[in-house]
Formats: sequence, C-alpha cells, structure tokens
Amino acid sequence: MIVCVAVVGHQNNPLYIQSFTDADDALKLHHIVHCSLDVVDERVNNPKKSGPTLNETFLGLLYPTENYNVYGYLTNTKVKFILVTTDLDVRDADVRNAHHKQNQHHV
Amino acid sequence: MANYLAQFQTIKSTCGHLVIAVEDVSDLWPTIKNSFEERLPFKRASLNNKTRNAVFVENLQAEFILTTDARLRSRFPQEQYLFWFREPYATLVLVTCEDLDEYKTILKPRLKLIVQNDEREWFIVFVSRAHPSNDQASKLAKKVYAKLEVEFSSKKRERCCKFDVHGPEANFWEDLEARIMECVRNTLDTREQFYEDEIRKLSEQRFNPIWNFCNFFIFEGLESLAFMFEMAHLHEDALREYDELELCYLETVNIGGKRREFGGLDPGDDQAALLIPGNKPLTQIVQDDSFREFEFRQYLFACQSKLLFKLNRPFEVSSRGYSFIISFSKALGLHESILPFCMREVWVITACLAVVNATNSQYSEGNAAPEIERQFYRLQGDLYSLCRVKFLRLVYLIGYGTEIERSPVNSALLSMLPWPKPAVWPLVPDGAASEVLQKEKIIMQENPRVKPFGIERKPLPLEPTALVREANRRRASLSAGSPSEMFDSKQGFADGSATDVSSKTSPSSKALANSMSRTYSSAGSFEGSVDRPMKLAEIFVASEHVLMQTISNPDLQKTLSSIQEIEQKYMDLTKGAADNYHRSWWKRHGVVLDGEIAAVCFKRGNFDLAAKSYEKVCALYAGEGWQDLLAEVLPNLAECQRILNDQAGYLSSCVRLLSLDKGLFSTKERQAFQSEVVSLAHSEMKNPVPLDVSSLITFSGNPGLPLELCDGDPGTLSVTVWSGFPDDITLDSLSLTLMATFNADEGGKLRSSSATILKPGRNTITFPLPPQKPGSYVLGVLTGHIGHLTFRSHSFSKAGPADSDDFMSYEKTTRPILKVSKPRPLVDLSVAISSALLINEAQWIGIIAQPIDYSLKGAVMHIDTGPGLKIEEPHSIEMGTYGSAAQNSADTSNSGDTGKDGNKDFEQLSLLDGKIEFPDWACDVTSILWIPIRAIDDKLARGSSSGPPQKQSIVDGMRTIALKLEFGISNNQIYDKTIALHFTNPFHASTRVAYQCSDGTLLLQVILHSQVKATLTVKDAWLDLQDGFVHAGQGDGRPVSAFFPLVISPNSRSGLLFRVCLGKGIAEDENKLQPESILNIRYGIAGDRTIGAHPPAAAKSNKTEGASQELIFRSAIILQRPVLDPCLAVGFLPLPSDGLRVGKLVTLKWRVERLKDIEESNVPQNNDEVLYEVNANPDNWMIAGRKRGHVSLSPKQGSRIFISILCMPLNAGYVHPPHLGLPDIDEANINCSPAGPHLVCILPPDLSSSFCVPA
Repeated sequence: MIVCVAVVGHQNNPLYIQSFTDADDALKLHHIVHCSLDVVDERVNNPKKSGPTLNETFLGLLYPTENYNVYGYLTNTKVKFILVTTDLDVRDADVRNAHHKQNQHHV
Repeated sequence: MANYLAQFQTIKSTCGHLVIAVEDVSDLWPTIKNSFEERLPFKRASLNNKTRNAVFVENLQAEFILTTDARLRSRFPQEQYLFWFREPYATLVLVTCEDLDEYKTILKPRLKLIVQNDEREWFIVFVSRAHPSNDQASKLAKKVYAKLEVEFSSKKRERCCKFDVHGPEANFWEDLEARIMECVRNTLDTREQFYEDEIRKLSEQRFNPIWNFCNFFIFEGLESLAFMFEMAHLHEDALREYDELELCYLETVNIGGKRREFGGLDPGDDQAALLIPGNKPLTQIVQDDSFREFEFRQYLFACQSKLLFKLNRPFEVSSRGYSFIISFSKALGLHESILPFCMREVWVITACLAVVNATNSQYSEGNAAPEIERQFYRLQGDLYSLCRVKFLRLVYLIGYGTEIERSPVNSALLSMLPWPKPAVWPLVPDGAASEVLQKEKIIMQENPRVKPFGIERKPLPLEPTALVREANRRRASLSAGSPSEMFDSKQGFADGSATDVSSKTSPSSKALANSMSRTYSSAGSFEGSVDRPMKLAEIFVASEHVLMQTISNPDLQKTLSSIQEIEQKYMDLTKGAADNYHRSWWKRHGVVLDGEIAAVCFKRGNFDLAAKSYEKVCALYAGEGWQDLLAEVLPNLAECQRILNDQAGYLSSCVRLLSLDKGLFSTKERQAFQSEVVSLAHSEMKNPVPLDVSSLITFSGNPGLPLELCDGDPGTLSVTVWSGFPDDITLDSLSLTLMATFNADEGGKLRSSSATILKPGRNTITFPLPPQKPGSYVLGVLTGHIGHLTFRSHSFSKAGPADSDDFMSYEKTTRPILKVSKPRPLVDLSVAISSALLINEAQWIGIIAQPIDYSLKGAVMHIDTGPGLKIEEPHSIEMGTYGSAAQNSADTSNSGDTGKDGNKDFEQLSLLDGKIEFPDWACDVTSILWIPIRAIDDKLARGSSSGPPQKQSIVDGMRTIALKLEFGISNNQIYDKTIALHFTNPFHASTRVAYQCSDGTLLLQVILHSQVKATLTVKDAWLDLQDGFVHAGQGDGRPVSAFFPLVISPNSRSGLLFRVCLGKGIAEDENKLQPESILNIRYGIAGDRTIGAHPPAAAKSNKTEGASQELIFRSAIILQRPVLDPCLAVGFLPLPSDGLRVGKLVTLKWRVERLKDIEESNVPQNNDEVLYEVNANPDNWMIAGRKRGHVSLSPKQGSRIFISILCMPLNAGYVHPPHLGLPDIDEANINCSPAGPHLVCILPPDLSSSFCVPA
C-alpha cells in the first residue's frame, strides 16, 4: 500500500506531500521523505556508485527497511518524487510506471 | 555422518596449515630438523588460484611431519579421501649414501618404491655428511648425488637437491623452497580439480531426491575446498567458495517441500553468533541431510566475515552484515511463533552490536577511499539505528513506552514495525501482582508531556496497533473483547492512534494461536487472567518476565532492568548512529538523531547541549523549508532558550515560530508567541540584541514605476509592510534604509516619525524622504523598535498581487524604488529684451522663467538690483505666460495693464522685501515677469565733434540685476542668475561746423544718432551755448529750420543745423557761465518693451498721454575756437633732377611760411622763433648737420624761411624722406605739402671704375 506521495523541489524543499494513513501521523511520513533525500543526494553526488542508473530518472528503491520501502524518481528539473510503500515486495516496474504517470501529471 | 562432521570440525579447528611429509629413509631427520623448521613459515610463496592464475602468498604456514608419525600413519584410506585437504601437500625424501654400490643395490630400489606412488608430489633431498676437508668423501658424495639426479630428475622437473650438513650451499634453501612450492602448487591444483569435478557432479544431481547437502558440504567438498584455499592463504578463493556454498544452501532451504527445523531454540541462541564460526559444532546443527537454518546461516556468515577480516575488508563485513541481519531478521520473523518471545528483536540487537564492534575494531581510518569510508560510516549508522529501533521496541514492551520521545523519527521507525508475533502472548507470572500495581501506578502518574507555549498536539504513534488489543488477541481463550473492556482511561494516550489490524491476521494463525494458548494458559495461575482481557500493565509485566527469560546476555538484561540503564543505552545507540551518519553522506539522518539526543539532554536538564542540538535540527529543517517538521522541534528549542535565559535566541525562536505557515499553529498558540515577544521586548533586557524579523515582517515598495525625484528634492516614500504577527503590534519606531544601486555604501535612512501599529497582513507606511544623492535606490533594511527591542528585517516580499498575503518570500528584489535624477537645469531665467533700454527712465525688463520639466509651484524669486539700478517701487510687477505675454506686448506697451481683465495667465504681483511669489498657474508654463526698473546715471551725455560717432564704452550703460529663484517641493532648489542689462541714452550727438560764413557765422551741424531700437520723435531742440558763443541773429537757440516733429527710425541718424557765432553773451552772473554747450531735445519714444527701449513705465499710469509723453534729452557739446585755421605752412622743396643715389650727398630743403598773424593769446611766447626737428630713419639716411634747432621767423603774415639739411641716402629703393616737424606747434595749425607721407626713389650707387683693371 502506498502510504505517502511527495513532490520535493530542486532545493529539497517540500512542494507537496500527501499521506494516505488513517491516523494523524503525517509528520512521521514527512520525516521519512525528508531523510530519503539523503539517499537521493548520495546517488546524485556519487554517480560512480549509481553506475548505469545515472541517466535514469527512476532511482529505484532508496531506503529499504524491514517495514517500509521508499522509492525515488528524479526529474530533469531536479524535482523529486518520493513514494513510501508498506508493501515490501513491489515490482520495480510498477513503481516506475507510477512515477512516470506522476511525472506526466506534474508536467 | 555425524562422526565425520565432528571429525571435520576437529580437523578444521586443529589443522590450519599445510603438511609436508618427510620420508626419512636414512634416519637423518633428527639431525637436520631444526635447520629445516627454521625456514617456516614460508615468507613468500607463489600458488595458483582457482582460475589458475599465479598468486603470491605471504607467510604461508606449513609443518614438516614424518611419514612414520601417528598423525599420518593411522588414517584409513576412506578418511584420507574424505579429508584430503589435510593430507601432505609434498613429500620430502631424505637420503644419504657414501658408496656407489650401496646406492645401486639398496638406496635406489628403495627410492623407486617410495616414489612410484604418483599421487604424491615428492622430491629428494640428498644429505651429504662429508666434511669439506675430506676430499675423498666429498667426491664420493658428489658422485652419488650425480647418479641420483640422473636417475630421478628430468629435464622437465628437478626433483633433487643436495644439503651439506657442514654448511649448506648458498642457494640450497631457495632450491628447497622452490621444490616444496612446486609440489604444493601441483598438489593444490590436482586436489582443486578433483573437488571441482565432484562438485559439478553433485550439483547436477541437486534435484535428485537422494541428494544430500551434507555430502555436498563436506564429502564432495565445497567447504573442504574452501578450507583448503584458506589453508593455502588463498582467501579470495575461499570466500568465493563460501559465497557459493551460501547460495547453494539458500536454494535448498527455499526449495521447501520438506518442513525443516529452523533452530534457534537452544539457550543462548538469542545472542547472535554471526561472527563466531565455532559457536556450535556442526554436528549439533545437522538435521537429516542438511543443517538447521538458524545456526548454519550464521556459521556461513561467520566464515565469510573471518575471511573478509583476513582480507582487511571490514567495510564489506559491515555491508554484508547489514544485509544479512535484515534478511535473517525476516527469516526470524517467519518463524517467530516457534521462537522465544522477542527473540527476533534480541537477536537483531546483539547482531548489530557484534558487527559494529567487530568492524570498528578492525577498521582503521584513512585506509580506504573516501567514498568507501563514507559508505562504511553510513552502514555503521544503519546498524546502530536498526539496533536502536529494536531496543526501543523492547523498551516499550516492558512498560517504558512513555519515556520514549514521540518524535517523527521514532514514530516512523516504531509505528510501522509490527508487534512481536508469539504464538501466544505471555501471561503474567505468579506473584507479579505487586509489579502490575507498580506499572499501573506508573501509567496513572504519567502525564502527557506538556509542550511549550501550551501547544496542543496529538502525540505521534509509536505503536503499529493498540498493544492491548494485539496482546489479548494473541491470548488463547479470548477473542477480541469489546473495546470498553480492554481500554482503560490511560491507555488512550499510551497507545496513541493505534488502529485495529486484527482483520489482517489469517484465520489459520488464529486457530493455531488458540490451540497453543490453551496449553499455556492452563499453567497460568494469575487470578482471573484467563477469563478477562489483560490490562496494559499486566501485558508489560508479562512481557518483561518472558523477555528476561529470552535474553541470555547479562549485559542486555541489566540494560533493560532500570529506566536509567535504558536511557543510557538509548543515548549510546542514538549517539553511535548520529556520529556515524555525520561522517557519511547521510547528514539528515545524523541531524535528526541529534534532535533525539537533545530530547534526552532536555529531560536530564542539560539544556545547553539540548539547545545546541535542537539548533542544528532546526537549521536543517528551516534550510530546506520543511516547516511541518520544524514546527515540531522549534518550540523545544525555544523552551531550552527560555530556560537558559538566552533572550536573543528565545526571541528569535518566537519570531521563527510566528513566521511558520499559519496552518501549523492555532491562532491561540500564535498569539502566545507574540505575547512572549512583546512582553520580553518591554522588559529590561540585559544584552539587547537586534532581532532579525526578516521572515516575519517583510516589506516592498509599491508596485509600478519607482518614485522619481530631482536632485535635492525631498519626497515621501510609500512602502508596503506585511506583518506576520497574529495580532496588531505596536512598533515604537520604524525606519528604513535605502541602498544606492551605484554604490552599496551610499544610501539614506528614512524614519517614521511616530509609533506605528502594524495590523496583521498588509500595511502601508509612508516615510518622509529627505533629499538623496542622484542615482537609483532599492530598499535596504527595515529596522525599528518594539519596546526596548531593536529589530531588523532584510526580507523583501514579492510585489505580487496587491492583496496577496504571501509574506514569506525571501527573494531579494533589485527593482529600484526611488530614482533621483542627476543634477540638471530645472529652470531657466533669461531676459526678454534684446537691445538697450533708456537710461534714467523707468523701463520694463522682461525676465522669462522657463521651467524645464519641473514644477515651479510656490517658487519665490529674489531680485537684487546692482549699483546704479533700482526698482520702480510704485509699480507692480506683471507676470504672464510667455506666449500670451508676447501677444500682449503691443497692448502692454501702449495701453498698459491687461492683467486686470481676469485673465488667469496674467497677473500683477507686488514685490515684498525684494521677493516675488509665483502664482500657481505659472508652475508649469513658461512665464514672463515684467519688472519696472530705472537705471540712474548722473553724468550728462557728452557729444563728440565731427566724424563718425565714437563708440561709447559699453560698460558705462551696463547694469546688473541678480535673480535668485527658490523653488522645488520645499523651496529647496535654488537657481541664481545675474543678468546684465544695457542702458543707453536715446541719442548720441556729434557736431561739426558745416560752413563758416564770411561774416563769422558758423553753421553748426548737430547729428543725432539714434541709440535705441525704437522710433524716436524729436519734438523740439534747442542749444544752450557755452561762453564765447552766441546764437547768430535773434535765434533762441532753436535750429535753423524747425521741421518738428522729426521722426528718427531705430539706429538711424538725423541732423539739426544751428547758427552760432563767436561772441560774448550777456552774462548776468560770471559764475553762471557754462563751460560747455548743452543740447536739449524734447522727444517722444515709441518702442516695444520686448525689443528694447520703450516709453517709460510711468507712462502706463497715464493712459491719456500714451505715446505722446515727452521726454527731455540733454547732451553736452564742447565748441572750441579757433576752428580749423592753420597758421604755418611747411613745404618740401623739389629734389635735384638727377635723382638721389646711394652714397651721394644731397641737400633737402623745406620752406616754412607764416600764413597769418598770430594773436598773442594763442601763440607761444617766443613767437619769432620756431623750433624745428628733422626725423629720418637712420637705416636709410645719414644726416649731416643739426637735426633740431630754432630758426627765426617773423610773426607777420607771409614771412617765410628755408630750412636745408645735408643728407646721404644709405639704401637704394623707395624710402620715406626725412620729415621736418615743428614740435612746438600743434599739428592742426600746420599745413603740410605734400599733405601725407610720401616716398622718394634712391638709385643704387654709381659704378666705381677704380676697381676696373685695364686689359
């Protein structure tokens, strides 16, 4: 289940955050999205490590934990889409599609 | 199989090196053993790795063992085959022989027997015992060795070497090591090949039902191969084998089908053994044909990490360790129901700490590339963080959840982490009633942490679901009860916003839980615990009891025993994670954890440290605009600062709180922030610090074009100020700086005069603007005071939509707000007249005031007349627009004032203290000022005699008038101009005697030159003659013929003729005799004041007379007697006819003749003598004789005299002849002939024949 969708500006400022939880706990998702920017930064700043995915907008799984996954997508304008899911077994292709659609809507 | 496993384990633990067998044929070993063993370990060896590439290995351990040794002898062939890796890698045959026959008969056959076993890699060491001094023996030994070499060595391979007991040859040891290495290499290659073949065979049969992992593991050798590589120090290859082994194992585990025992139920299994390969003997973990997953995976990881440490790759241990822990934790999760309560959490905690400690001790900073190093620290941070989460979960379960900070980071980590899923939730043990009561008491006493400023927030959840419900659901006999049963009043906050996930649990697991819990619950003797749902306190107590049973590590047990210990451990873990994250790329993670440390510091009363950490967190969130998160932390920072009495920081935090998005705090809370600011501002502050309110009070200029001012003008500047305060706020003062765009140092400061009340949102403030230097200005800084507090704002808000409340814009605008133009002429004053005015008459001067794109509103003109000029006071000053003034000029010149007819563009003004105020209508149009003035000249005009009129000195009629125009918004602009005016008389009179009649009457012609550009009408003229002249006849001094009125056009002339004669007038009084004659002219003038001279201003007041007003002009004329009557004539007598020649003397003659008698009064005393003087150019003439002297000349008319002088011309050509002058007599009395200077021709000298030589 997707619990949070976020759009983060090129200066790492939040542009839009929507959480999909019943409880009043959006702040924890803000935290997750904010911290995931560390990983985005790391990938962007260390192109060697990210290797073939450098030219790709879809950054894949940023932040695997035991309980939730964070996926990232970086547009050409350095706007980031962050997706937090509680499903641990999600196909990359699905997330990639979701991000592409999100990007189209964003544009 | 178990035996073999045990044996394998034993061999593995005892045999960590290669074995080299020694076949001691001649009982030599004891004598040479020491010198051989000294060579161990081999310093440098070259072996082949799995891909048959040469690898250099250092410090290769080995052991020499005699073949007769029990360790080698007692093995069965089966065993040898099984544990081939421990068999000798080389066989060293030690022989000696000093006799050729003995060699042939005994040694050689025996050696042949030994080496016939091809499987062994062997070589022969021939030991020579012959002493070097004993040649015979040495030779013999050499012969035997030569035979040996011939027999056993080949071209392809050297298998022999010779060792001298009494001093081996220099290269013996090298030879020996080379032989050994060759053997080891070959053996290794052969065995590797063998194992690989076996593995391939077994791998192909992997899906065969009879396939057995243990066989694969030991008998056929993956592990054996790995171990062999390890023994040979080929760690890379060994690691690869272990990796392969792990893959194979995971495959067999995942194939499933068979339900295998997982393991992990033994005492001490809760402590991770992922770095201890020998934690458990393999025999213990074998199960059927394979191994238990719990132990075996840890074993494999331990072997891998051991090799990685040997390879000095602690980074990889961390990296693999983290992944392993995560995946292993998942595996533990799958088997959670059979494992002890919270086994998963405890295992992860111990595993993380083990990996962190091991890698930290092995890792030396600076050895790896910076990127790897950052990765390493990130992984350490991750491990600490993972450990921290699991630790927090345990802490919550044992009832200290209220101590956990409900921060976003903790909530994110814990609320998405499922509760432990034991088959049945543990029950409260016997005799724990007091503990339950204690826990209940703690829960009751615990109050929700009050946030600063009375901020009310729903606490963030730390629980995935309500623990009470989850625990009771997992109890055996109870299905989920009604909420009222389970939730007591305090539980609401403790469990936060938990949601029910019971629907997620599958029915089968429920059934299992039910069945298992029955057996468990029957044992429980706590009263009523089976029948009613457990309370939260009971759950905590039960969990704590069972958890302590699960935990075998006394340290961890102790850590969880008290709140102080828990807090300490929590700090250690958080700091560990934060520090490592700070050294990695993941700064945000580090800073966020700093916030968690700050919370603990705050709780402990260490506010200074807390404030520092909170500041870092706030800076992070604020820097990237994460306002929601900032709103969570900033109040805590403010609270620290308040306690620390850091007023500046506290105020700044309050301002930042107010600057946050309005939706983040309620109005009440925002009002609380404001009241804090205001109350502090009005209190006595110890160290008043300027407060930066850039984010709260923003300002911008008004949209549209900038205000444009001329140099030196003041103005008012309107600025829009947005206030982010929730209520009105009184600013005791407010000022704004302007920054010049041309120079950052330039600029002005604008002050608002009185206290300003800022409403929430948009305010418009008007500042008085003093004169600024020319240039463009942008807004600088807004400063002001609230009470004693100085604040400043640097922030510009967008000049966006007029009603936008978007005051949180940090963009600095460069749009100029004010433009002050460079100094330029703003007004021009010029004179409207182009020619001279009448002197001594009231005249109008026109001053044209032309504003140049600038308003002259309220302008005042100061008029200061120079010497000889005065303003005609009784007359008012006229002002009109320039165009209409020109049009009206004719009227004004004739009929005077038209300003009274109410024409707006014409007005009469009066002069007050030398000032005139401009009327409003004249502010934008070019206007003309008519000022009545009079130039005063006491001197009488003087006429001149005969000839053209002498030019009067222009300075005589020059007057100046200084004008000063004060204008501008506050009369700040000043324009000074001094205007020169030219005044003149209407006429210039010149006289000449037109004719001298025989009767002595002189016709005196007076020529009148008009001096002005106006038509003059001479109406009458008369001459008052000086003494010595009288009017001829009965004249009254009027001209001969009176053609009056005589009209004289501008700049033209006319003449008057008077008859006068010499004679004495009848003078009544000697004193009244006038020395000069006066010409009186009564005239009128018709002229335009825009051009020049015009009727005097006084005429305007008398309309009836108009242009017929008569003026009198008087001019002095001097008449002199006699008039043009020469008394001497000087004539130059003709020159000799033969001409003048250079060098030839010539006599020049003049004749001087008296023309008339000289009256006594008019001639000098010595009237019979005349002084003469001859002047000549000495370059041309040489004069002989007197040049100057007196000659006698009778005073009688007609007397004459000749003056001659001898001269010699010096130059040829036309030259002036010498000139005779009479210095005593005025030139006017001499009639010269010829009249003017003339030239004479001088011929060159005659040719001189004396120089000619006859031929």
